[in-house]
Amino acid sequence: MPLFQRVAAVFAILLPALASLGGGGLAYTMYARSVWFRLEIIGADAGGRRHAVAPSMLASKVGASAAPFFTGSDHFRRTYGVGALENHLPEVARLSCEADDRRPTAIDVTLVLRDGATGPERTHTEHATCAR
Amino acid sequence: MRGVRLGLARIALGAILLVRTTALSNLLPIPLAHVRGPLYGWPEPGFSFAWGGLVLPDSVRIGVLLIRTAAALCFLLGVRARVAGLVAAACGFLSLSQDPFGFIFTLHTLFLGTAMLALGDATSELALVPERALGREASARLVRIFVASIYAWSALAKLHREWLSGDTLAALAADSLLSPRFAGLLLGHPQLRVVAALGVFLSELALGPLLLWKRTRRAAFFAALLMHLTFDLAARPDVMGFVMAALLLAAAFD
Repeated sequence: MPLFQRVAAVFAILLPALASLGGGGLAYTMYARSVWFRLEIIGADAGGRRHAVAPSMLASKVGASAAPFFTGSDHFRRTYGVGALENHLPEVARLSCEADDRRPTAIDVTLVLRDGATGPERTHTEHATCAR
Repeated sequence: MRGVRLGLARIALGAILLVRTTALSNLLPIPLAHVRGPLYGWPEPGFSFAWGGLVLPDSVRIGVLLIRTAAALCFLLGVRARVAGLVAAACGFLSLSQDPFGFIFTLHTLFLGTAMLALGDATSELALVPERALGREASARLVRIFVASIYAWSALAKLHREWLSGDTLAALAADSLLSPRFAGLLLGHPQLRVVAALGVFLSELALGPLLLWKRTRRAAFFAALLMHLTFDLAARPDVMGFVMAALLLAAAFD
């Protein structure tokens, strides 16, 4: 086998491994595991007052493939992979800054995950300061 | 067919690539294969996400899609197919990078599989402008390793309690991601769910080694086709079965 084909084989085999080690989604998981998730978005105004931002409101601000991750996600929903949402929480926080009519000065986005309908919860929070 | 199977695999995968990444895909009776806009990856209004935050301008994205489509056509026809396949795969991954929420393994496998075929003699068989041959067996071996690794990774991803207990299959059935007949069977028979889950896991676990071992390669080819046919009947998982069948054609014979 020529050298470039050997390199290609190693690349094709190891790419999923490297991605999965880094928390990415390239390891042929294909609907092998379900996960429950919900989003909690909290805005804060200049006076420090906090208010909730409905995740569903963001669904109309994103493309068709991202929209289902926001629709109804203020309550726990089951899906088969939230890697994209988890990896892009900082952008979701920035988007929330733009989309929230109450013009927050800061946003906290928390992704709450759990295995199964009643399992223990784990969270991932991102903070964004909103440019005004 | 013995001397042209790599070329046949290229034509099959090239046709799938061309159809699945254009609006032609909407003619398929597969809801998951729906393409929004004229080409897969066409820019949409709204906030843009991208791998690493590297959002490309719409004009660049459209240019990439046009190049990808032209390259896919050249790959299919066998015109500068080595370069065309690699360009189509690279452009495919660029389009995937611009839609992280829409990432699916079918497209990942389709693009990477195209690159694997482009690197070998699939580009020198049944081609309008054949590329220089590099060695048929080495080319088949490359695809074989790739296909075996897909099955191995898939099995590894299922090596946990939720899958092996049949709970994931129950969830898929309850969420209407399986055909109504299969869903009804699985939801009504917990033991069948365990058997099905174990069957899928063990099949994927075994297929890689069976493909790599010369004496069992042919049997593995037919077993893999049967498994993908079952998946298609149970869940219609995009065009994954067709992609794997094309790659198996290149991988499974000496």
